[in-house]
Amino acid sequence: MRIFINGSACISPQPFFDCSKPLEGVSECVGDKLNCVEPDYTQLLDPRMLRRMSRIIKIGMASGLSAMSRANTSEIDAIITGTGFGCLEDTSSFLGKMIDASRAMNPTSFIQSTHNAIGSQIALHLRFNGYNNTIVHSGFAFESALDDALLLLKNGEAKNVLVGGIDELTQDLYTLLKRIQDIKERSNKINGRQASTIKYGEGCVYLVLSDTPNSDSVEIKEFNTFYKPDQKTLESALKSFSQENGIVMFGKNGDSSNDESYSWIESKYSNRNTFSFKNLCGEYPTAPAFGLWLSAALIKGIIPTSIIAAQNVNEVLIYNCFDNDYHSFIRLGKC
Amino acid sequence: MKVYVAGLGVVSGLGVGVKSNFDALISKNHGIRSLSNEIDPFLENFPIARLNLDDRALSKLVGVQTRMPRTALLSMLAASEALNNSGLSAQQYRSGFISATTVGGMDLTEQYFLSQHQGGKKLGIRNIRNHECGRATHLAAEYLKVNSYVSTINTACSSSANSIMLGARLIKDNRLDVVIAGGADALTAFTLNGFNTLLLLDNELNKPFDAQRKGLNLGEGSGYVVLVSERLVQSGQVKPIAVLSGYANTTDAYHQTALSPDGNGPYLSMSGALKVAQVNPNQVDYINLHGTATPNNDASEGAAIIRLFNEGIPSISSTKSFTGHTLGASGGIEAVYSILAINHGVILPNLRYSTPMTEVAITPNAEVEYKPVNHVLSNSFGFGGNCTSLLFSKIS
Repeated sequence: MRIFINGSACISPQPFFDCSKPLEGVSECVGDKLNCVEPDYTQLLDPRMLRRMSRIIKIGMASGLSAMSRANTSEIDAIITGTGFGCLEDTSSFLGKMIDASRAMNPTSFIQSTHNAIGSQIALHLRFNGYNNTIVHSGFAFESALDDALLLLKNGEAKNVLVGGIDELTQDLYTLLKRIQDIKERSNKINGRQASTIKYGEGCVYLVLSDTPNSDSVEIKEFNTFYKPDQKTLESALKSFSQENGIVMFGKNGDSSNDESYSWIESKYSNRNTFSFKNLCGEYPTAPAFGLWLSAALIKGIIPTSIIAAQNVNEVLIYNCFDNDYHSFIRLGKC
Repeated sequence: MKVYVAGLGVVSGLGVGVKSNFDALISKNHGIRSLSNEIDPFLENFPIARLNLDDRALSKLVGVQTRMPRTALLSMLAASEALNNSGLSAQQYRSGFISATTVGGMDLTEQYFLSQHQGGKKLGIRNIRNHECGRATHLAAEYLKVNSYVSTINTACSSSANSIMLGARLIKDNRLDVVIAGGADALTAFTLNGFNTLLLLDNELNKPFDAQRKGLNLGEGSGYVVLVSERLVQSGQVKPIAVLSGYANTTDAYHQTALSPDGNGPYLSMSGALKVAQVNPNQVDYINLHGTATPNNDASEGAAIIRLFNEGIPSISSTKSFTGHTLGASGGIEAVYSILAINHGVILPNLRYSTPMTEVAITPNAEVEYKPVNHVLSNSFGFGGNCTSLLFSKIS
């Protein structure tokens, strides 16, 4: 069975949201804290609703609804959201007030702190009664969500699925991640590894996946996930990837210990055009959704292929490895 | 292709293990025996259902040396019971662990921030390393030695019903042979205060489906089922105890924290599960209710049941009158109870019921009742309108 991306939207540290005309290129990422370039939400969402929404819910709603309008569909059969950290701003806010002397916790923060608030708000807006799931498995949350979506499509339980990956980088999270990384750096140094050049990011991508293409579709030719595979299993997963002029996208993040997980595949494709997508969006649990969106945009010619020093891009393989245990391959191509 | 259940594991305010939980249920001994200010001294005293083991005792029981979130420990305890109960080894088959949680490592995160805020000894940052929901699952998956698939779901209070549903779909797709599916949630100050700010907590023992119900009591625990493929059963490698014959996930889409008065989402999830199973409403013997004892949930769920079953309403009860609302664990715990109802041929009682609700005319079973139970619906509905129903059936 063939599966197509019929519409998508991306809010990220790159100016990629409005792609009604071809995008000029990418922004240089300054510093190691990459926050989203956000659109003017008043063009997309009811201003009365906007006042009550947290930032991550605005980002999610705007992306989800835009993906649907770009796919030219109001009929979806499922909403599936992947998020590693969930709605952190409201979680921090509620937790902070609980711990400080004020005890002035706000119920709205609690309501908006739940991981499923993003998918639920989209469903509420659409008055949607179908399948709605939120997968929260850390750095594999998006791949798990995508897996759920493909399972529905393959078994004929859905014809159109809205599936996305979303995470936010709050100031609190950035501070904590830096502190955790500092400890890791010490052990990296002891083990003779290079200092990391990791950037912390955030973003949201929603896609409308369908069993039927439209005039603008990109095809998901292959999707495979592995948990704790042996090397042989991983290498045999590569065999089906055509050896011709495809691009290989890696989820390397600049942390030397993490990036060692990619050395086996880099050596396989040393003569190929490879690209690390986290240079553009930063590291966050659902960053592979950005990698997928970027790949589809390159295939469609929305983004100039000069950014990856290539000409025509017909096929992209995206490989991401999380925590050394979780591996995913996504192969996209023209349909 | 059928999906069978081959093992059960449960931890709740009723105790550790299937036997102690079942004994408490049929003896009408509830587990809502603690008070919320054991967890947060600033809270007024709400009844809660807590497992009577502190983190240290729980770690010892599980056999782990390092400090872990309580959710992970609860998860390991029930999931390993379920796997042992099935007699299977996770390494021998294509195995998966799909868990659910709403708080993950929030207990240690709270302690970390509290120690930063207060004077005195500061906790190390490693305490928040396991904050994310996925970490508790990951730690438990390693403990169980699962080899092929690990994931975590958080759709609030329907989370673990959804992990059981996803596990079944992966087996049907022939991706996995064995899936340990369910969920775990520890009680934390975060959730207690959250529900308190929403005015959803009862300061007395909860009264599901009763006219006098005022709100919910929170609880903690974990519940898992071991799902296995039909092929594994046919090959004689495992003895099944029930069939997961139907499931459906729907959205109520009415309000972020309330269900619609007519229970549209619950109606769709229950009818959807029956449709998948090709079972008629009149074949259902028992509904293990979501039954949180909030005015809104019980009226909405009751309305949906009347709409689906008309005159032929099956036996119904909310075992949250025993365990409190265990949030992300409730679907797993109640799946275990539903299967026990089938295997023991018993309708579990709904405690503290005395007066019919004014909104809908529906009466829960107040007593233990022995009778053949062939099909049980287990309902789980969450914030955001996430509704999931599972149908468990006797092996024919």
